Amino acid sequence: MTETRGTTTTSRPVATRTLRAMASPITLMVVEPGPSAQSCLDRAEAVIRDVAWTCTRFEPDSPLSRANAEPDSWHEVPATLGRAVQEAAGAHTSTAGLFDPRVLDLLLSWGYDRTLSFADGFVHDGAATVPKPDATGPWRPRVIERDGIWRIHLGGRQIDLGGIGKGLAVRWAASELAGAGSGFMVDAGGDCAFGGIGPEDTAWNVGVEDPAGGPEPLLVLALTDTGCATSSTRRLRWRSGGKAVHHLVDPRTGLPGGDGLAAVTVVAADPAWAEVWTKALFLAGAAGVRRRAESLGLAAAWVGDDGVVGSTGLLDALTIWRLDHG
Amino acid sequence: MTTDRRWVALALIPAAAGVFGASVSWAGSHDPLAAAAPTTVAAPLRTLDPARIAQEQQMADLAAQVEATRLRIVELQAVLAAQTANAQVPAAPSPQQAAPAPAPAPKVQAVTGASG
Repeated sequence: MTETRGTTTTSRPVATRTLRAMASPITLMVVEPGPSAQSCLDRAEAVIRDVAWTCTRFEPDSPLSRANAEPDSWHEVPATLGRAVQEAAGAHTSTAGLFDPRVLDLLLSWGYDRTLSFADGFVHDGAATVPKPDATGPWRPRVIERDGIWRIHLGGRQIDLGGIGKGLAVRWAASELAGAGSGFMVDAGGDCAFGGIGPEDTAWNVGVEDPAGGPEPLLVLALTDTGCATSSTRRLRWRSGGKAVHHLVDPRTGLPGGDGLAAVTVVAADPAWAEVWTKALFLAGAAGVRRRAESLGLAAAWVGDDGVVGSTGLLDALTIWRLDHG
Repeated sequence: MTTDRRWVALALIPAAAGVFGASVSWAGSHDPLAAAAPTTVAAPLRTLDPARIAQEQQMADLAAQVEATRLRIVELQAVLAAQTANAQVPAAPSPQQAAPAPAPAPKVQAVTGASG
């Protein structure tokens, strides 16, 4: 279901469209919409729905599901899936394997084989022990584009494009909204993109969610012409075989990663890469997240299981408000 | 003959008077007992340049202004020091006075967090 509305309750008029896709509420907003704003919103929505359908593993007929069904074969796929696999391969290389879409095997063995009702406290009566991953080397999928025809080979393992898929949807939707007005926003929950000036005549004010469920954000950032993403275990966590698990799997151990961390937020020019870096930082755990974030030169914040918030200086420069715990 | 002698005598009177006057004058100037007259040397007249006077007055006025400004700076430094001290040492809240509430979060247009 899609809803479009215009409003002037803010300092500047905006056109807003809301929809639900990729298991998330999506908000598209254009500030001071120009004549092409509605068609831009239409295209942005179409992009998001295309990614949602093409890259989902929860629909058996989706292009990704068909490729996953035979990961040792070549598949002719839509350009969207070809580009997404290409980006995922690049992320796998750039993160030295910390970003690895092959962790799908583990998620499936833990019972995450469909869209789950995590809010209700999902429990999977699976194996009592968490299985180790198969011995794996670097992931080397192959992607070929010729005359507009895209073919992929997944390298023998089925993959999950959930996180990076959403980041790419935000990136491509944002490119459709650029020029539709004096500013725009694509908000897909954890992954966002912001351009130009926000509706209050300032940069876009973006709250960083409290992973403990507190009503107020932990930080408020002032962002423009950039993306941001958050990886958090607040929602996607459940029990499997008597053990607590979550979706941020460390491919090196085959176990839920990020000891001592509840959430990581990264601000980066590209929302898809912001998403990738949140995972790479999360897997450093509370003990190593600062060093990794600073060595990578990232604007990042993290929240420990104890509720303590850390951040790099680059993110501090974007922070306009911080929750005072007293 | 008597008349002629009379006219000669009359003619000699001014000459005699002149000789007498000259003698008196010579004697006066050569009297060793006479007190030495004080010798005064007239001091040269001090000429005051009106432009210089105006310049000197202007310098005096400026010096006064500098001094007044210096005193004002000292006053302001004292005020600043007092204000700084007050800021660093917050007043102890009275038992009835609640701690000030932290600033509320600004209005946000989006929240980044868990999804999916």
